[in-house]
Amino acid sequence: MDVLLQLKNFSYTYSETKAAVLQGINLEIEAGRCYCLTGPTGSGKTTLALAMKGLLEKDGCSGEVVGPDPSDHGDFRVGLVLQNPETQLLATSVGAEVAFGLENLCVEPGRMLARVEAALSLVDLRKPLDYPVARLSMGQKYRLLIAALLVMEPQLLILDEPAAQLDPEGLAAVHDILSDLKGRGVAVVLCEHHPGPFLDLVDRFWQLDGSGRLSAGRWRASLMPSDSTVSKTAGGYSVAPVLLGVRDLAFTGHGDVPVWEEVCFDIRRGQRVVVTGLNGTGKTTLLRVLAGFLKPSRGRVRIFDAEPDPRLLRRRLGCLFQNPQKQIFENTVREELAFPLKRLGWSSREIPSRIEDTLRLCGIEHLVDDSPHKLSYGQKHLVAIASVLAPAPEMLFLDDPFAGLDGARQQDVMEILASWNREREMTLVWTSHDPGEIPSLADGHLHIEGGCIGWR
Amino acid sequence: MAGDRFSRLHTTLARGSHHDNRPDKGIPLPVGVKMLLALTLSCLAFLARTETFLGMVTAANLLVFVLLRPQGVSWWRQGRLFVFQTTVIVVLYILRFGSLAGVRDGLLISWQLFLAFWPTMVFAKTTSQAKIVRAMNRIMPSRMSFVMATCLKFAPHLLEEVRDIYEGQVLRGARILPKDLARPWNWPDLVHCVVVPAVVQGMALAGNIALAARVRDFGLHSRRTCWPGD
Amino acid sequence: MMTRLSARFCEKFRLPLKDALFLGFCAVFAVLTRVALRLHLHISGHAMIIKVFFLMLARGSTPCLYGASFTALLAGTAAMFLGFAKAGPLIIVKYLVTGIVIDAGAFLLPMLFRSYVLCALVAGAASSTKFFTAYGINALVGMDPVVNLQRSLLEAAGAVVFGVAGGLMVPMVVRRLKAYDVIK
Repeated sequence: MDVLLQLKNFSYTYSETKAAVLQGINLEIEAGRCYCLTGPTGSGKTTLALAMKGLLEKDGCSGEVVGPDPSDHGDFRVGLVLQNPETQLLATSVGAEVAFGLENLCVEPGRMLARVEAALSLVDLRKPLDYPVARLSMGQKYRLLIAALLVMEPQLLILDEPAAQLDPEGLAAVHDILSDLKGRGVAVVLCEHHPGPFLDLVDRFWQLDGSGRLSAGRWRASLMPSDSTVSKTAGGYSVAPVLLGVRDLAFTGHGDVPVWEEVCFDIRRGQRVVVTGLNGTGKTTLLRVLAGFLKPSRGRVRIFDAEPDPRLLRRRLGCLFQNPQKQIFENTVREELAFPLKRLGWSSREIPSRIEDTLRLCGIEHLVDDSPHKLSYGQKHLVAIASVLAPAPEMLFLDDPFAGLDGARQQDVMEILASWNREREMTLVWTSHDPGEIPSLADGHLHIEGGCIGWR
Repeated sequence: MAGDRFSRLHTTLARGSHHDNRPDKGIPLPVGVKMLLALTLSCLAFLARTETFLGMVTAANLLVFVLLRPQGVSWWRQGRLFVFQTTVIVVLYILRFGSLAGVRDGLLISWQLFLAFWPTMVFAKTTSQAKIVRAMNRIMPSRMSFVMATCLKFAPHLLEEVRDIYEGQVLRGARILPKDLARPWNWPDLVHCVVVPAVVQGMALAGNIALAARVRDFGLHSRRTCWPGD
Repeated sequence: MMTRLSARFCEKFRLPLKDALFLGFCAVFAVLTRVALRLHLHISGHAMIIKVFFLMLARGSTPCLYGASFTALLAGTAAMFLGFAKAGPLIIVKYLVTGIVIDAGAFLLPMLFRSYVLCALVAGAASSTKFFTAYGINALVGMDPVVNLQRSLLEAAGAVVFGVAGGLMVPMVVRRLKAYDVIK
């Protein structure tokens, strides 16, 4: 097999952190083969992908990245699909999106149409070229991104965490595309800590440990907590008071399109309810309506025996939206937790002990005087959660709280939430985009599909 | 409700893509022609110093309005703007000339100023954002038009991030609800809890988009060709 | 030919794409924040608080020496094309003049973004350009010079007050961004 790319004793250090993210990496990539790069969150998988694409700052690199002989392979191109497809779709129509790369390569406009259509047929995306990208499903958007790279005729295609973005149907479609590409001699590298859907395609596994070293083999994430951690109380909530009651609720989105209708449910004190639904079904909208930030078009919400009003809910309801690190703004972890306590009227005598207790329960007491902006992704996540738990709300809304976390971190977060629920009867309502994977933490499951929300 | 303000702005920003799908009710003119027409009418408004000339420019604007039939014009807002502007100018003219002779001059000047901005408003209401961006591609350097087009496209996304930050901070106790912000001593909360994190998110988003563009070799060559489709 | 000349100009003073996009966001929000807040207070010059804040933020949070001017150019263009321009195509000039004053202030005063007083001064100077642009536009339509002077002064007075308020918020933001190590 032709060797397309080699890394020889390659290391990389980000200028901000001064710590080597990658150390002494040696690897070879052959045409027509599929490789899976595994490792925990923050181990350097994305950095290695960027190194293969040649997008890292030269100053931080040492070692060699060797491409193929140009006389054998012509212009060697690497295609890279990063995490979060939404920020990689740069045009408004399907045709323009796929053609973006051709524009950058100065391909003559007259030759673009045929190449764009060929790329779209490779990913089996049958949409008109002027079809708005915004109307595609997440799976279709992902395939569009792949087409946008395939149109540039790469010899190596790298996908960063595809399983995190896609539902089972989307994964199956991507699996077929990758299988076809392998057959055509394109090398594929998957950066993935859940490679399950692609196992049959993978020819070789690599793993990055936390120190930046690469070795052969597959890193396996920790398993979800067993049922002994959390007690399921089937039917045990019938005597608990209803904290959240919803009757005939409906919401209409942009362009008068109904998001969901005739929604009715009750959530009682101490319950742990997960709300699932595919992307775009209105999970975040539901939380915003329940918290009083959006008015429904019809129906009634009663939360703590009153209409939802953020001003009144402040002390009793906590809320963590997606990517909770973005809420962090203070200079130390201590100040970050102190902020809500001060604003919500906790006395200055109680605040230090409250901060200490909360950090201890979240397992991050050692970070109390650190700057939260210099912590790792997982640590920032925990700081954001701690800052919402510190005022001890009676109910907590969380929007996809496990997104972007590896198994170990997900387990940490789940244990923290489970212990607060157990010890303080804190009611939990959180959303998830994967209806197939319900954490054992949940004792109630609401599902959104086809504009309806119901118990499963 | 603060959430509804975000939704209103989101709708305004997202209108570009929705507008693409609505059929134009007026005459379909090429974007370049519409832009030139708007700029010409705007410039003519500055030059119309006599009543006759101003009348002709008004007639031309009316004709363009009837032919292009812009949707979603808020007559109430436009009327309010004109009345307020006219009141100030006319009062100053009356004070200057000491008599009602100033009223005529004041009205003419105010009408001229109104006609200076009206054509660009009609242009915006009759042209989808995608077409506006393509028009900008023709007159701006490709890098600059890419930046403008991309920022307009991603502004709703960034706005959602700002909304999430805002709503999360409200429930953490930050004094940033509209009633709280009527008191200036609460403004530091808005700056620290919302503006600063929003700027950080804006920088992060800019970084992600720049990386996505470089992944597809943006900037490899100094010039770019243009997709002829759509 | 104009496109080629300007492309060569851009090449010479090339801005990293990430910074250019951030400035673009500042420009878009400089135009659209006013729509969101519905600040139709009918107090002359109130929009200056948003304009000055975002232009100064653009200059203060990127190392680009012409950050405010570039943002102003983008904002003016966006305002014109999106139909939010009361002055028609001359909105670009209005924004650009404000941006140039801010860039000049940042160039002459290296400690600008660490000082509330200096920011207030530069913001005031930038906002006062409203007098000149308003006077120029009114003169173009043939307004009586005395009325023009009075109207432009009225508009500029409000603009300076609001502009200074906008400028005072910038050191708070820049200081935090430096503490987070987001900017150097």
